[in-house]
Amino acid sequence: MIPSPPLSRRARPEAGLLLLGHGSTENPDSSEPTWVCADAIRQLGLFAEVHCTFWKEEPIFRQSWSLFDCDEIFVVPNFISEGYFTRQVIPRELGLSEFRTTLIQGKRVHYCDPVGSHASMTKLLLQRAADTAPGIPPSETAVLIVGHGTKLDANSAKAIQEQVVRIRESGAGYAEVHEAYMEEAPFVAEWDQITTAPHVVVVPFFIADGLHSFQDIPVLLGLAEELPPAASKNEVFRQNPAPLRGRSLYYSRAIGTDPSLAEVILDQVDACEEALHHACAAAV
Amino acid sequence: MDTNLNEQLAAWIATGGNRLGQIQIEQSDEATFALTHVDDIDQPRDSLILLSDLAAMRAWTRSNEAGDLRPLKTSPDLRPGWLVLAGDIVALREALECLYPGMVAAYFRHLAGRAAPVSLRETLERQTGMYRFARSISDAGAESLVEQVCQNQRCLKRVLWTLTAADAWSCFSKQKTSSETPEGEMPLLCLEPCFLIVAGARLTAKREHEATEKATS
Repeated sequence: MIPSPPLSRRARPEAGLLLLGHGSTENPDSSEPTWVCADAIRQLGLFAEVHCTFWKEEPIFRQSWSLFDCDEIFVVPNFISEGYFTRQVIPRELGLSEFRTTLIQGKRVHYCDPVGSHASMTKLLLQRAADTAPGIPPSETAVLIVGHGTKLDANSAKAIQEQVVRIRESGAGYAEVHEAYMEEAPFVAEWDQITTAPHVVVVPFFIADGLHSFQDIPVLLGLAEELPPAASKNEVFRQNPAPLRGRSLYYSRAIGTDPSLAEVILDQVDACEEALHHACAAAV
Repeated sequence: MDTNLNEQLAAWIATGGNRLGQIQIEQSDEATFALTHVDDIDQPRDSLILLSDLAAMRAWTRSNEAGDLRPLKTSPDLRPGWLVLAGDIVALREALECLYPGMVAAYFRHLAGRAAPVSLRETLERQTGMYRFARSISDAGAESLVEQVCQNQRCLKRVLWTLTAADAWSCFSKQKTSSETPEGEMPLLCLEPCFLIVAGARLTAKREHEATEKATS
């Protein structure tokens, strides 16, 4: 029997793929990771159409359905965590129901989970940590996954907490793996108290390099004294490691800038389709 | 069954369509279509910078000549000096949707009666979170905001949405609120308020609220 190809490479020539991003009116780099993934997936030829829409850039979420000719669309939020945007803003703006599939303007729309919640994101984080501190033994290294964090939404930290557990259990051999946040404890500003290993690799768990990953967090870490300009104009943080507070600090770009994020998006489409099949099977 | 967007774009080109906003489309010897800035129509092609893929187009349209970020791609400050070559109608549509996101689709869907304008009040009413307060903006405040944000010096789109479903903007010319254009030109249609309007409505509503509080205290 011939094994089926990996689901992430399975073509859906009749279906469309919609990637949703936050976008920004101030950060020039906010939407680029989402566009780059769309370009990469389009070139694979797996879908009839691939489009992007945004909350704060054009085309806006509300224009989503006008972009597509095909009648079946997978929607993947290029967001890190389940929360206000994925549960309230996106369903409201797109007219999605509480169910995974909604019929909108004659199109069957399947709403996938956000990229940050997929197990394959762990592989990306591990690769990013290794690439940021090449040749440094994991046994002497702490990995710090940094998110925004907010007291307004308990789910905000969930994706990071899950990834931290997965990295610890991955067998990669890191001395420590911790979570840290900008606006809730454990605070990233206290990175030297959270970790004990001589080498510390900090990976921002954000989609884009921008205000948080290339400006706010470096200041909180002590890498910069004041806010540097936006990422596309900035080369300051490309030089690792920084000797700081008696440690070697390695700082990576936002995880969403990894070209392999396109694979995670395809994995989320597969997971969505699998969930639909299970739901159908359960209903029979 | 509807013809798809690429077929509709091809039909528009075949009947002489050649301009969107600041973009000129011409038949080309090097490829099927050549796109330039309208200011560059008479420039030798080899003097223009070739934007060879979508990433290059996005990078070019990100900022204006002063280096300022362009939050709206339909602002009238698209930098000249570039050339895009599109080998077929699919590549042409990709390029146009990259330079003016969503505009080709908006035009043809609206033409087909499948994309109706959504009023400002309807847009603000559904806002939640930090933008919930935007719905309290006054009619006069809304008119002033829209005039400021949507005027041709800031955005080339035609404003087809209104304050409510039943009224019209008094601040704009008839042309600014109409989808009619000279022959050969595709209008850039705005069918509902964008993020700049929603964010601006929140700020205006807050200022109005603070002014009322101050007046009554």
